Amino acid sequence: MTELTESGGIMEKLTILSDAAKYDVACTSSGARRSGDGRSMGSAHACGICHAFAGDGRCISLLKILMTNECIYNCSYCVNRSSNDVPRATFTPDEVCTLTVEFYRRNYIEGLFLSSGIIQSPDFTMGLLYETLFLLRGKYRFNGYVHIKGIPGASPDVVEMVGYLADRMSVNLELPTAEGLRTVAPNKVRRNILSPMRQIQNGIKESRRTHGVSSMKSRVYIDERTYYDQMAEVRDSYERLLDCQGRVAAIRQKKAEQSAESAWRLSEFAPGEKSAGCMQQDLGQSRLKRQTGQGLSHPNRYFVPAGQSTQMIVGATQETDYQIISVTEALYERFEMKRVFYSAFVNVNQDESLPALAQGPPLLREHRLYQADFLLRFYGFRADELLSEQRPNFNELIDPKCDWAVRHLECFPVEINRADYYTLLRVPGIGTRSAGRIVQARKHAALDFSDIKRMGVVLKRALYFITCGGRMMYATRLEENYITRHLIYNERPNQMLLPDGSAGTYEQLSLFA
Amino acid sequence: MSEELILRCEDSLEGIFTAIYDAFVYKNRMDGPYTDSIQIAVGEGGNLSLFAREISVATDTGKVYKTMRAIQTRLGFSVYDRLLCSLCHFADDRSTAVLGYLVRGFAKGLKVSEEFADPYVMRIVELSRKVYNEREKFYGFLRFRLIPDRKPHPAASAGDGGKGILWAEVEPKCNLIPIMTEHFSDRFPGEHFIIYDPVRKLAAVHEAYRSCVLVSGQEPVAERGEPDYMETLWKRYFAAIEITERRNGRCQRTLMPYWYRKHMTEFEKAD
Repeated sequence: MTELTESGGIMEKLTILSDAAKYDVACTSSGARRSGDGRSMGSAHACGICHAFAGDGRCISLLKILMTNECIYNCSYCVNRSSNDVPRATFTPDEVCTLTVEFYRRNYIEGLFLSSGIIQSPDFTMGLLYETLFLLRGKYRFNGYVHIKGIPGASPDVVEMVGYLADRMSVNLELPTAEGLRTVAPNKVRRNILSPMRQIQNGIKESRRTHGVSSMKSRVYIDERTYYDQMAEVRDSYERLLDCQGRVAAIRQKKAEQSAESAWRLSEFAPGEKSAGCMQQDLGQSRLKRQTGQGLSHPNRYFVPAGQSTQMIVGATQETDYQIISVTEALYERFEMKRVFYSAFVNVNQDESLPALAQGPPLLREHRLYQADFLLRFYGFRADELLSEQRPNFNELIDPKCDWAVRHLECFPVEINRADYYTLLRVPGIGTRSAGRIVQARKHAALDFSDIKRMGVVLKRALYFITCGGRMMYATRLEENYITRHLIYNERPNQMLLPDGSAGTYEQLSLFA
Repeated sequence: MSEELILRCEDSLEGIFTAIYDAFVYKNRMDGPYTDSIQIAVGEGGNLSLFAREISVATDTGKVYKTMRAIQTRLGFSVYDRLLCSLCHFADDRSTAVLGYLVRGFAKGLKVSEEFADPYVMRIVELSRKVYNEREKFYGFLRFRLIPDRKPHPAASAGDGGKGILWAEVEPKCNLIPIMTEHFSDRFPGEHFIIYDPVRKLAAVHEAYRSCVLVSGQEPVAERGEPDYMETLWKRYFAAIEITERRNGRCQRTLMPYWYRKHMTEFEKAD
């Protein structure tokens, strides 16, 4: 074990390389669940653990560092681009391992997030990451969470070798469209980003099929019958939702899919279609399976057990929110991403070709995108339902779910004691937990407002959209303007204040309209 | 309407489990349907009730064991875990809520856990949620401090423990020590570590490759050795990772309120 002492310059390296890595957003340690093996150090917690929160409110879960910032690329948004005059440093693999293990022992971190600038070539860089990871797992016997960044352009062999040792891998999409990527990051090309993504996706699928599991989260303890009853109800509800969406999509002709397609031409990478690029891809993979043989020689290992993620920068180029969530949806569907992360653009280089943000980074926009992202993943929404080409951006005043609800008042009010799971999920103020509880509890007793409030329903948002036993909570009007004003007042009372200090939630009576 | 009974027991998990055992004995002696007329009061004092009979319960290991076995075998370990966590809450009504839950659970079986409209069941959900959430926070926010050995052990090797003792202090609102040690001994099997709660004077002591032992009542003395360079590195990392353009103290305070920060390395005042 390398002793880290004050003379080694480790403090400077850590400062430079953590400072250089901080703009990467993904810092989650979730998705894998693994108990300790009784001998080596480390375990993984299914929902992840946040070990601290930095001054910007972001969670610190993993030791997030770059292997090196001596990058040969010159992407205009990046602080480490080769034309910048910043201090440069490179860790040795042993230094990274020692830092990780020693921080982990003191319970500072949940694991390692290792990314890197491109040093010499993509293959060399990826090899360096592999060496580090190999030492960490083998020599230092570290069993905790590791997230490794896939370097675009690295050969599939080394990507696969890394995949059998890491928990999560991610390849950054960087920008919401391939067009944006060409202008801002000239050294990165679409194909180099999408093909490792596809490779990781296929690897995960195959590894899970070999092990006979569908997800790395072991089932929650809940007795079997209850679980299947509940799942049957949810599944039934999901089928109804798909059916309904199928009918709607037939009318709208899947605009979001077309939008995503025009941004990235993802269909070239579809697993089923035999376009030229895809054939090449398949050939490459069968060759690689024979070459590395990692999956065969270590049959107990999973390939990227916590799934893969990606991230894109928001606000550096001119994309609309609609384009961004269309691409997100396509990534979830076609690449089976675990997460897509958004990073509000910070103009670190004061580059003239990029927007100068006078009011600081677009944080509210990023927040709205994350809200929409959760709606796509857990609530059964489609990108087309949330936005369209006519309304390409999210409402700044109310969140996407409330925004959808007030524009679809024909779906409301919803009866708590009868509505199915996905209908409940569409009500603002009801989340996955509370919807699940409602579905369970109403089998035993009729529910009232006080009951669902204790189950976690946020009534100040939900009350306009629900009935319990056929009654609404208060006499409210089912009217778009009325409800919108009240919802805005809930979130930001200050913006609705009238000059005399009272709140303007009532409607001005118009005599001459 | 049967008379109100209050069972007063010692303020410990053993005390409460004994009282639950006794409560079922008294309940079964009652005539007519049971109307939640038995309460369990924990510790000394409290308000005297006018129309209730108060009985004090002496802790009995045999009864504790029987109660635990009954819950585990008849309702399963997940329910046992949830009730144990609820009992680690600081609320005064925790033991009464658990008793009410058990009365319903033994009568109706497992499906009681989804009757959220029942006040006792919902109370257990609330109590355990609070305890689970706080435990989850402390899994992350607990900080070990390395106390080096006076002389290095000859058999000590890298990553194999034998390199000093890890010492942590926590002051949780709920009594987390009994329910959080499993996570840490699973994660650090080869380390010697001690987690100490100075408010309740309760410590979990873990010797490498052994199981955890709870020690209460004693006040261990941790002597700080020479300063640990890793602490300096961590403080530097914590400062460097923040994006200053996005500074948001309010968000940080929401996610990590001040009271959690008392024993955290990165918030220590520089000497």
